[in-house]
Amino acid sequence: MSESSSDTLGAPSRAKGFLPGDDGLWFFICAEITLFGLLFGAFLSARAEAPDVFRGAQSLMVPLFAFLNTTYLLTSSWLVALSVQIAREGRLPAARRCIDWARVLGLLFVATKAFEYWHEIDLGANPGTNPFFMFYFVTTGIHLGHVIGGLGLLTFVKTRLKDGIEQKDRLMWVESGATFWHMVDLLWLIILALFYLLP
Amino acid sequence: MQRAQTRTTVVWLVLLVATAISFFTSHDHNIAADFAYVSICTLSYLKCRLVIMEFMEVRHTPIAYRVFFEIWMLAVIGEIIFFRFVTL
Amino acid sequence: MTKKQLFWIRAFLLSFYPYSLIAGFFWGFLAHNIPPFPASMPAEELAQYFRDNAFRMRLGYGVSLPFWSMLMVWAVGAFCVMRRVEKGDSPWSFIQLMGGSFNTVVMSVAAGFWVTAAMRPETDPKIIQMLYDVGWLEGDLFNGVAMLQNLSLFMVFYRDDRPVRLVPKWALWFGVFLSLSYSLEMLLPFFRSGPFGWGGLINYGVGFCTPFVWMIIMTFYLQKAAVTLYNESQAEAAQAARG
Repeated sequence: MSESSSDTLGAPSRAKGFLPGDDGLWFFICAEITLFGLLFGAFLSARAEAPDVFRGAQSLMVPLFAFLNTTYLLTSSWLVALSVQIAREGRLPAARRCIDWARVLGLLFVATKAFEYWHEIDLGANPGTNPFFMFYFVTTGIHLGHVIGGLGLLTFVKTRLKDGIEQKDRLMWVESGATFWHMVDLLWLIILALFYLLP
Repeated sequence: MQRAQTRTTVVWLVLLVATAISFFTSHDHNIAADFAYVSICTLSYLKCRLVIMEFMEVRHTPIAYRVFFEIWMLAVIGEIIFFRFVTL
Repeated sequence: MTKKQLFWIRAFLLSFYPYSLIAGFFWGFLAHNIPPFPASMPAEELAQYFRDNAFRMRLGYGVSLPFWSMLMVWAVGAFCVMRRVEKGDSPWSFIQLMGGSFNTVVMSVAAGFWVTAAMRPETDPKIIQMLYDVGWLEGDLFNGVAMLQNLSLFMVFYRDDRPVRLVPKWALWFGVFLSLSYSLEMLLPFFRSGPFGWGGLINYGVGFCTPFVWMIIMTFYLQKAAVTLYNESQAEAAQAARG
């Protein structure tokens, strides 16, 4: 692990290996994605045992919701990545604005997901309907929990992006928050493929 | 630093385009299912790798983290392909 | 801290290693809990297993039951280290102590249900099944205490700013990860098999077994921390004597 997160202005120090944010948080990130990897494997194994059930259930999914949610998360990830770079330059108001818009998109994701759940439940689907929907509701539910947690974290990060706090601490927070948010985005890309796209 | 922001924006646009192509591939019934499956897997792998390397800046992290994420990506995409094309 | 106190603190912490072996053999192997039977197992089949293996089930559950108290012993050792780091009224240290101690109660009560089933396997299979169910649900769902224990360790040791940290950050974040993973056990009443059942890959593999690995790691660092704190207190005492 690197000993310092960045040089004076905040550009990544490529010579030593640079770990953005809290270095211990990366263990957490790795553990979380490993857990999701196991979950994905369990889903795929169940799908291989009952392909017709899964195919039939997947046909009830609405691609538009998934497309919107993917756009929200990718764009918010982009904004969070920008906010890190801008914060490294010391431009705090711009960095805060990026975080604000990222949070708006995150909230849109939550709202769209909630509406999607309502639509699916209205069609008669629930976690007990069949293995596809069991995995779908649990996996996306856990992911949604991470989105909501990430929104809370970004809200806190924004309070750290102000004068009066050392640049080192500001960067530690914004980089940590960004890493977590990108993890949420990363996991969604696999969820998208598994539950919506793969034929 | 302006270059870094431009690079990040380009990555974002590539991700959006790749997502659109994935959706198109998935829902175009003229495309053979196996081909669509492999295409979506490939695009998902590339998208995830962009998020990992560019947004998460793993390309700058110590080598152990790069190795972990590369293995994780290969394992996830690998299991997606394995369960489709290998009969249980 | 005196040398004798250091000895006992380390002993309480390091006792986790022999405890793990005892629990692993008696509870895990003899009593067939690696992994346990799924909730989907028919009552007759479960009861038949208890009947056919009555001796080993009684031995496994009976011998391991008192050893769940070692979770409390470990919590006391950790508390003694934590409060020297946290100082003052040390609220988080007390949360850890209470959390770890209640963990003992949770698992001992669960084991009580299981040993009861083992004692009279000839009884109605539905009763055997219910005792088995209650044990696992009670043992797994009372995880708030474990969550608080993990979180309190994070809160105390995260702020440690020694050049060589007493507990590395990754070990603390590992505890936070496990703490969050316990929340998946809320799915237990809904799933009788599969990854979210009490014997499943997620709720058993991650939620039940992995914490033991984490405690092995934390034991190593906490007992080392006790030595560091003892050395620091000795150095402070020597300094005070000179000054």
